[in-house]
Order: sequence, then C-alpha cells, then structure tokens
Amino acid sequence: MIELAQRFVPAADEVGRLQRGQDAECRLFQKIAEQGHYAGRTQPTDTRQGIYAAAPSGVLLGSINTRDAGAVARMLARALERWEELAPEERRMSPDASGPVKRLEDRFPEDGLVLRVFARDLAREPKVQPKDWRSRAWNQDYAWFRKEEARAFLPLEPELGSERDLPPLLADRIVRLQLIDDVRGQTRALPPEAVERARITAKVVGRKGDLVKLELSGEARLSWMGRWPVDGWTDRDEPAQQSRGFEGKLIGRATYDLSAERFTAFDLVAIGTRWGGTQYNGRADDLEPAPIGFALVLAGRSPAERVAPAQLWSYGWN
Amino acid sequence: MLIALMLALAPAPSPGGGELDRLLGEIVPQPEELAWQEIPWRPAFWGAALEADAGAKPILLWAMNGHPLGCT
Repeated sequence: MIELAQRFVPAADEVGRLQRGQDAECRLFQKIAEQGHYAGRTQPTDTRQGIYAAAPSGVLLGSINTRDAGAVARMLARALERWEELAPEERRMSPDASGPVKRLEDRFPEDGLVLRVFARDLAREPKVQPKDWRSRAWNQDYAWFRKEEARAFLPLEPELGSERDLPPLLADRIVRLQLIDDVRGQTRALPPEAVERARITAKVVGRKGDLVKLELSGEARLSWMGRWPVDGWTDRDEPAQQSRGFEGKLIGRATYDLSAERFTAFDLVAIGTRWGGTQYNGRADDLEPAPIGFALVLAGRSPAERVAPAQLWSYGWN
Repeated sequence: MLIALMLALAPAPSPGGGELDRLLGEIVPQPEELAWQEIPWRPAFWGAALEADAGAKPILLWAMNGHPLGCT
C-alpha cells in the first residue's frame, strides 16, 4: 500500500466542506466526486466520503469507500493504469480552475500551543467491551491556543510554588470541546451551559533559568440533557430523551520556556466517567456510565499535525 | 438521578503519584496504531492538487466526514 501511495501525491481532508464549498478547491473535489462511488447520492446521506484517485485535471481514475486495504490497493493499481492512458493535456489542471482558497488551517497558531488530543475507553470491570474494533477504538483531535492563551497557563509571576487557575473561558473551552466522547466516532461539542465544573490549575514546581516546570491538576463535570438521535439514521426521525456527559479529574506536567515564549513539553491527562451518546459516536449500545481517558500532548511540527481542531468554530476566535 | 447514583457507585479511576506516565501509555496510541502516518499525507486537498499538477503525478485523496488526520 505504501509503495502504491508513493506513486501519488497523497492527501487527506474533511469531506463536508469540500462537497459543499464554492472555492477552487471545493469545485475540483466536486468534479471528481460526482464521477465517483457516491455520485448523485442523497440517501441515506449525501456524503461523498471515500478514497479517490484522480488527475489534477479532475478526471477520476478510481474511487471506493471501504476499510478493506486489499480493495483499496486494487483500486489504486487500476487507477495508475488509467493515469498511464491519459494524454498529458488530460492530466493537467486547467488554468481557470485556480482561485483563492480559504481554510481553517489558515488560523494555525504559529507561535502558540498546539496539542494533539487522544481519546480512548479505559479498562472496564467486568470486561464488557465488544469483541471487535470497538474494544481497541481511539480517536484524535487537535487543540489550539494562541500565544497569549498558552501563556495564561502560567502564574503571572512564575516563581517556585506559585499557582494559577486557567482563566474560566479557556478551562471551559478545553473541557467542553476536548473532553467529549469521540472514541468510536465524531460527536458534537457540549454547550457552555453543560459545564458544571471546569478547573485546571498550574503550579510551578521547578525553575531553571527561563525554564518553568509546571504540575497540572484539575477537575471537570459536564452534563447535558435533551432529545437527540444516538443511533445514526435509525432513530433520526424519532429521537428519544437523552443525557450525556463526563466527570473526571485532570493531571499533567508541562515546561514553558520564558525566553522562547512557548511550551517545550506538555502532557495533560483527563480520566473519569462518560455517559450517553450522540448520533454518530457509536454508543447506541453503550449509553451507561463507563471509564474513558483523554490525553493532550504536544503536537509535532509535521504538515499532517496542522489540522484544525474539529470544534474550532466554537473557539470564539475573531 | 440514576446517572448520579451510578457515578457515585462506580469505581472512578483516581490519578496520583506516578500515574501520569502509566495513563499516557494507556491512552496515547502505540506506534503500530499510527502506521497510517507512514504515508506522507498532505493535510489539505488543494495543496496536494497543486503539487500533483506541478509534479505530473496523480492525486490520492482520503476524504472523510471529519478530517482523517484529525477527528473522524
């Protein structure tokens, strides 16, 4: 698979914006997708998600939506054969296909703090996890902080022993946008009104020149009730009364470089109990309280780690 | 009410001492779970399309509800 992929320029992207947007990027995707496996489909959803092979011109070479690696490899091999059959002018992007493209990643906080967020079910007693992919499921997301937001983790005068609670707006943002159950699939952020407790405290436990070592601790409780579907399309038209939430504790450590004005290390874990589900997070058969863990760690600097947080639109950034 | 009662009775994991490294080990994916990262995925379709056009290569696009390199 990796060898096959090397013969393409591989990209991964979010399909919702691509299939509904109007800019040059979206128009090119729509041209490709409307030749593909879900072309014209509106039911049960209009999604165009999947794996596509295409020429930069928009000529489709192959497409599929499957978790079967063998089927993907076969599709890619056929796509390469089609690519070889195309004349050079059939491969190239049309000059008038170009144009301005606006993306959430344009707001990447270059001088701020970027965390990679992982979510995973923790061990249960008795072991009641299903014997399929769900027993090993995990998901990831990103959390972005602008430079001044990252600095707000530190006490104003970061002397040994000093402490600071993260400003409530930031603590609430972390709790209700990141401590949400997306282990088995996408979920929705909780509204501000769902936050019952959100505290993250940083204590200076070491100081060596400009390096400030922090111990992080905190607690969170989120709870929300209402009527919404929890089983994909099955209960979409007749959603029942639901409850969802998380209650847990946070611990962590971090190091901030005062001269570079950035974190050089950051590990924050939240563990506790989740309950409930949402339409696409795969919990229809797992709504009762169960243990869950979240880890927020410093992201790397690779291009793939510049993906925008799923809930960036809820950040309130101008 | 039922949830409050169950939470009160549930053995909630409690952090403390050297728990942080153990919990990170439990939650953060292991290298074999991140094997898909061996493919140098570009995080945006448009950049890849321009690169493919300039390099005379076809595009491989993995498009999902939720960014495949983020939260899906």
